[in-house]
Amino acid sequence: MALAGASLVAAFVLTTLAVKDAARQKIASDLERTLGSFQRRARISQERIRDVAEARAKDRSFREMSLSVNSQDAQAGLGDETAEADGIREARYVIDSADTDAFGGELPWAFFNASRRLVYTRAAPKQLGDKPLELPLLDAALNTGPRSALWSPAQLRALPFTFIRQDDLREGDLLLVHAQPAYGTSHEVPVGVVLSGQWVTDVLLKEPDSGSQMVDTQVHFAVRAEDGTMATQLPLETRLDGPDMEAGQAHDVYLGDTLYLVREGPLSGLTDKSPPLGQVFVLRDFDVEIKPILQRFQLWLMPTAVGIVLFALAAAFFLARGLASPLVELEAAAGRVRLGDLTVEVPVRGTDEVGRVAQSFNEMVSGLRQRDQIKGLFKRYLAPQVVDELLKNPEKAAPGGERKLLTVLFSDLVGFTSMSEQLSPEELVALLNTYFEQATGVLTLHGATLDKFIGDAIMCFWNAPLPLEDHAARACLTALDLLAVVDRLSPVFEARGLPRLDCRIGINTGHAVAGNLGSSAAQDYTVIGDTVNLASRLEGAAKVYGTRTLVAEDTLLAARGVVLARELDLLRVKGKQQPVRVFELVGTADTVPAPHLAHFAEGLALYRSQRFTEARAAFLASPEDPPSQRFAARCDTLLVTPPPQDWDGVFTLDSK
Amino acid sequence: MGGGTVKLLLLALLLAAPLASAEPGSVRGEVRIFVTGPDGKQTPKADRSGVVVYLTGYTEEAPTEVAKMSQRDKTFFPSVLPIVAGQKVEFANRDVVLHNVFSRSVARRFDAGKNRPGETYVETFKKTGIIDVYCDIHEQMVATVVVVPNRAFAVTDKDGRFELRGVPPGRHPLFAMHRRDEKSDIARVEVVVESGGTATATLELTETRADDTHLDKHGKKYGPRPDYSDKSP
Repeated sequence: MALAGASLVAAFVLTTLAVKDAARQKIASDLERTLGSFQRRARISQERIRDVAEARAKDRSFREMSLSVNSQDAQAGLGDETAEADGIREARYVIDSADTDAFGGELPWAFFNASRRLVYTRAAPKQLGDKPLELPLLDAALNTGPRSALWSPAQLRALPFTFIRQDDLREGDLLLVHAQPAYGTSHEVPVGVVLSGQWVTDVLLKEPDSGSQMVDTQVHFAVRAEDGTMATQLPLETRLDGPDMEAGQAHDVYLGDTLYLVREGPLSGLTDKSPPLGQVFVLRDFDVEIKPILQRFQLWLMPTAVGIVLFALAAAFFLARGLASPLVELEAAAGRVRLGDLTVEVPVRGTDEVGRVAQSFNEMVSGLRQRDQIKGLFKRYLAPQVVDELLKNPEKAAPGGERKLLTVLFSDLVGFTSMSEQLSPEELVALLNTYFEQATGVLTLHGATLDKFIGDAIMCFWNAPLPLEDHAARACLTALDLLAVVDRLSPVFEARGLPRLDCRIGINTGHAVAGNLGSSAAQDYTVIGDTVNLASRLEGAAKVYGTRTLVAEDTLLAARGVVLARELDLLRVKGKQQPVRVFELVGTADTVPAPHLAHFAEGLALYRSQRFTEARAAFLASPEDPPSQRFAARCDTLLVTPPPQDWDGVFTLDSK
Repeated sequence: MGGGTVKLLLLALLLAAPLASAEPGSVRGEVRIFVTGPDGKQTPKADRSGVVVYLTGYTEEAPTEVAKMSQRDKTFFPSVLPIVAGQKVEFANRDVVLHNVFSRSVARRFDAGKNRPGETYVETFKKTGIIDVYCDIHEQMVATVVVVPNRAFAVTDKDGRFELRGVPPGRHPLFAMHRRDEKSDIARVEVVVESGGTATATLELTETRADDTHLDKHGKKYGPRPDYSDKSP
């Protein structure tokens, strides 16, 4: 800003100087022109005087008068000595009696006859030329033609006749005199000379009329006659020319405190061949002259300069804003990110640093958003470490739908509905949460993907989204641990006077589709397919066998013997043709089998071979085992109503 | 008594001298007039009448007879009239309208006033000189009275010829002057007249084109003015 101001001031000063110099040049050339126009004016003035004198000399009455002035009597050898004087008197009579305006109005004029005797002078009409006058101007006019001259008052006073009355003499002025030969009948021999005069102040130094278009009050003129007398428009104390002044050059002259530019030139005569009448000086007041130029210039420069500066400032401001606006947007976006809004995206403009920063910022936010999405997708279903694993390797997540081998587990609390009637909602929720807390701990421990809690039920699965090779084994172990949880919690429940807490678990392994299901507003990572349905059915079917777990054969096979299980039945659940061999989990692989398990296996074999009576006996051998009890009852039924011939030992479950 | 004797003696001398020394001679000659045309070329003029040829250098007594210049048909007759200084001229109005003869010439200024038809005006011209005679009523009326010092003068005929008689022997300037309205210059030659002899001379005049306007007797331009009046001026 200060720099701009300083440069503005500097530019202003420099331009002012330049303008001053240019103005000086202009004034000098103006002087030149003015001098030329003054010289033209002077010539025009002389021409006007000449024309007046010429017209006067051509006037009929004048010619008549001049005839009597220059009587031909002498030429004709008939004149006498008094004839000329008589003629002059006669001419004066004519001029006096004639309209004086016809002879030149107010201007001073005089008439001489061919012998240079004064015939008439307007300043003193009674004056009589009693002898020829020795006047160079008259001789020049008579011998060579029209001639002008500048006469000073001193010269006028020294004239042998009165051209200007003493009272009318103007000191400090010059008389522009014109001598015009007048011709009579012969054009070769002039009959006399008309002398006319005009004051220089009146014709050349006259202040222009206010109505005139050529008003130039800055110009002043001075005219100098050959004898050094001057007529000026300014009071002059100094000489206008000196030895150091070059002709044809404008030079400085101080008049008082005012500086004038002065140009000098000859005041030319009537024609180019005529000798100059004197000198003319043109003066211009430099300060007055330059002021309007400077003012005009300043008037123009100041607003322009200020405007340019303002424009530059505005431009800089907007440019800076244009530069800063992406940064400001970035800052705002960062603020929003800090507040957790990952939907922000800053517009990327251009490929400069700022653009690249914006691009990087967008990529960063997009990374955060992806991370957030993964977290949001799986943190509900997966153990935190699994989620971390997914975050490290997002490609493993495969959140899109994918069909793969899964093991699905359904777990449901038994008798919970009746329990809920005895408890206040707060207590119920507290209890459930206690259970879910521990159950979730178990699931997490075994890397299960928690699908959802459905009331008191839990659905979870393995091998998605992260692949787990031992998914079946993990499911079985999870089931055992869940049972342990229930066993651990049930004394607490019983202590509160609540029914015994128990649960049923169904597990199945098979192909299913895993993926994010739902609308964009509410999405779940879940699994769908028959495998899942069967797991659910198995969970429900456990109640038929009075077991806490019911595991499909595929799962058990895939678990590869990490658990001990007993085969329970061939079960055809509702909606499925293919029977499923179902097992009950007994314990981990190192569990010592209880004796009733052997009895049951024996009974089952008999049952399948339709030896129901024997099978019944085998089942009844272990009354403490609920499945045995159920099969015994089934044998009773089959004994009463024997199965059809094609009975394959499959138990069809019609209910869910 | 003594004065009378002197006068007588002088008269005797005057009369005796020419008789005793020489017989008067004559000058014969021709006037040629050239007209300058607009192209600058000079052509001889056919009509060379009306040129007054005279001698100067001596004076003679004017004749007592009155010269006559009348106005008729708004014209002066004759239009050129040489007289001897001291001679009288009678201006007679032989016209049917008023005339006002005047002159403003250096040699003689006069104003006859308004003359009705039949009236006359007599003017004496004492000084030699060229007298331009005009009428104050009719601008076109122009005449010239040439007042010469002696009786040796003549007016040319159509051929421009003239003869001056009674010229005393000796060297004399000889002038030829045309009517003023012809606006020619004045020719001057010198002639030597032998006693009783006849000298010949040829004078050449050049007419320049110039206006022949003039002013009225008051020095003003002519305007329309009545030329007939019942009243006497």
